Amino acid sequence: MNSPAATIPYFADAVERALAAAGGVELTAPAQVSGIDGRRVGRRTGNALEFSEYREYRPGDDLRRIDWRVYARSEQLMIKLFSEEIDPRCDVILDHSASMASTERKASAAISLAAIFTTAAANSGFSLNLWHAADAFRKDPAPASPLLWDFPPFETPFSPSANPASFSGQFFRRGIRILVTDLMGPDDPAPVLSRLADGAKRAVVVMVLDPSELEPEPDANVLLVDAETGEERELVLDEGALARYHERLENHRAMWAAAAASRGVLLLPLSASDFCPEIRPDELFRAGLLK
Amino acid sequence: MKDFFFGFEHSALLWFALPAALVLLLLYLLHRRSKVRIVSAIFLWDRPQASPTSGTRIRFRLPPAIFYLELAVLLLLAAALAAPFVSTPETFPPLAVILDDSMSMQAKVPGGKSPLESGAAFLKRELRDLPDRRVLWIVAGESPVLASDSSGRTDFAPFWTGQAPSSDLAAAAALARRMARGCHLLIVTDRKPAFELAPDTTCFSEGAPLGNSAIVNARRTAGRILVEAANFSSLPQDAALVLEPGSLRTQLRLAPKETRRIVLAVPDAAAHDAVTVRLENADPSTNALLCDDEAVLEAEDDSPVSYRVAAGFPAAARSALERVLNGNPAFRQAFTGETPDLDILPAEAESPSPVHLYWLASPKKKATPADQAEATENPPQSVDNAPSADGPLSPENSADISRGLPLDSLQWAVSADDLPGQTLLRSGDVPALSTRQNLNRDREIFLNLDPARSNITHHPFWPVFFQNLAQTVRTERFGPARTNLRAGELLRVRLPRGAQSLTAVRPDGKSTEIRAMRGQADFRPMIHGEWRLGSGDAKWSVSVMGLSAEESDLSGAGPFRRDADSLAVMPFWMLRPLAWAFLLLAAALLAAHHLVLTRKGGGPC
Repeated sequence: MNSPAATIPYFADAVERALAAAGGVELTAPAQVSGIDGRRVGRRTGNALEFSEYREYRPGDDLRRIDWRVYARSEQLMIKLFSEEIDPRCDVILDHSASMASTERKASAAISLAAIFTTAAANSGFSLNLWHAADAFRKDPAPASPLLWDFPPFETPFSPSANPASFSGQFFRRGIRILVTDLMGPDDPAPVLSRLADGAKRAVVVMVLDPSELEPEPDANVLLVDAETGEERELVLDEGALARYHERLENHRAMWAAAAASRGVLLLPLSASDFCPEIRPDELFRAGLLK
Repeated sequence: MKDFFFGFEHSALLWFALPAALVLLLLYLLHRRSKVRIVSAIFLWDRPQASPTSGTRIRFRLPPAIFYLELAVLLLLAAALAAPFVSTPETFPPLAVILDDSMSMQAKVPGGKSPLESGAAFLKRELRDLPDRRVLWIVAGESPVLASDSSGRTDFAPFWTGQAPSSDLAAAAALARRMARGCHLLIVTDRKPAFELAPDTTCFSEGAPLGNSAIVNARRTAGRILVEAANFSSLPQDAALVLEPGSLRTQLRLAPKETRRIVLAVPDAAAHDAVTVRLENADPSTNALLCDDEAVLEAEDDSPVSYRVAAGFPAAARSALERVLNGNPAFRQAFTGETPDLDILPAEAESPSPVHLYWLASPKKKATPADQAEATENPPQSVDNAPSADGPLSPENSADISRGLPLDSLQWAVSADDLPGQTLLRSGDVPALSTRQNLNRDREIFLNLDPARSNITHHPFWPVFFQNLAQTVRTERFGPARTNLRAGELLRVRLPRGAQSLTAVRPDGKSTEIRAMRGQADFRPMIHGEWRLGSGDAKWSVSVMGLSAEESDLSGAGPFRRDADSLAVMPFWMLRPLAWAFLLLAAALLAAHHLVLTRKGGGPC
């Protein structure tokens, strides 16, 4: 087992801050409704279905869902709707690519986010898995105890999107899947998003970026070194170069946002400065991930 | 024909650019000047331009823009070192007019024209046809001076006065060649030049071997004036030497080519004033030059030396000093508050005076007051009953202060084992008298003598030494070293303490500021007449005499004409240096380099 404190000196601080912040929070379970909505037929069976409410029949609804007793009493075609009882399961996947540690703040924020999600899931009584997306896709033996995580360093030379095949099929079915990453890869987002969303009740991609990536400062000659590939590029960071960077970053985020939206995945962009050195999880509450 | 061409005088120096550029490149390669920043994804940043078919296995990183800026600066500096020039065609090469400014240019018979006047008329005629030609005006006096470099100037009278004691035409020609390469020379003089003329040199002389009598030398010292009068004509001359004030006349009959020395006594009434000696010819027509007939001589400064004796001397030394100073009219005691010319001190100390006499008079062994009193009252009368001397006296170096000092039967006893400065007199192995100049140019004289064990106060050495001392102090006083000198001679002026410069007002009223070096200003007055000098509150006058036997002797003067072989209209490529433009451009690029670095938020790391 890797000792996180030995390989990542700020690990314990980040986890302790996250545990303090996530003390009373829970992971929000999606209140999805299963049934016949007139447009598609749900195929999921679930472990248990509880009656939720009636609504009027609409053309295309499954006739088997009509409550004939109500029709007998009121001569109105009413459809019985059932709430699907979600099996509370959660997979948290943490990107261990080297770009996640391009700054200490960003790495610290990623650790804190993973710890917040796992702690909140544990608080909610979810079955929980923590996956380390490193060179190999690996399940942590103690997901609910962040201080005991078997935590590899942020050194993987590629991001999850570069190796979608590594997203194994071991995720919980019909659970919540949360991927903490920076999405900083030139690869096609579709495969990894499809694998993430497939069979999930809810799929969330938390995109955490450092302020130096969101708003880089002008500078003289700089030698940019790619954290993952080691590729170098020498630039003068003048206003023009920064404007072009912003444009590319926006395009990249828009591409991921479009890909996520088409697959029902929630893309949540966050700044590392909100989670390091102080944790301000307002965005997570606003997005309905935590309660 | 091409309008211009460009080149380098020392094109081999351009190769310096190659190692310089290589060094710069290596600096960029070996010492990376860019900050390293780890980024998450480099693809979000600018990509280098590449064609679809491009691609190499080895990637060279292109240097940043400032590398090319620095490379351009290096290339420009190397180019400037190689002396770039642009050459433009001109109809004529520049013309350097060399004006003989010696006194003999003023020689003329009554009603006639001097060589200077004839030369001026010739120049106006010549230059009238060349209104646009570049002309360098070089005044050939004792040393040549570039008076003007312009086109179309014909007003040369302000700087061509014919008053210099001599003229160096060869040096003037060399200066002209240096100032404008390829120029033609035009020499205006009163005789054929003594050097070989180049083919491109025109020479004009309207001089004539006229008769002349002159004062060729004059000196004033100790109330007397020594005058040398000469007759440079081939006939005997009757003349009179007139001394003013007083109009004292001395009749002379000078044989042809004779030079005679005459000694005149300065009237008592003019002992402290300037006097004028004038040579008046009986026949003015045989005296072609008037400016050499008069000499003004300022009074030499022979006022008594003011002195001050500091406290701390043994009684015997003080008594010996009083005896010799009170008996010598060349000395007087300084008034209260006056800075004395001479400070007499028992040991080295600060003093505002220009001359310090340090007399180390205390006995080597501690002597009782009774011994000192006895020594004062009963000085040794002979070698037999005198205290024992330290060793034989021997002069070592020569100086004004030690000149003619009698040493026979002199008993000397030293008080110290050594003296600083240059030893003038030695007693055995020990310096007895020495001198040096300190950083303020003050003269310091060290006397290593215990009077109690010496017969010095009763020996001729003592008054002669102080007479020499008075003479030394007079030459070290603040002010000009001499009050009478010839034009062109070096004049050294010692300035009062703290003065930074000397103002010299010429006889024509123009003034010059001369910077002082270590309290001393040196210059060569070239115009004869009375010069007024000043520094702060101090004022002095010096007489500069334009006396020169060579110039007064007009026998060598004569007409001479020579036209340049190539003074015809011909194209001439004028070389104009361009190094300044390259340096200017390099400076501008460096400024841009600086701006680039500062605007981008910091310099190279």
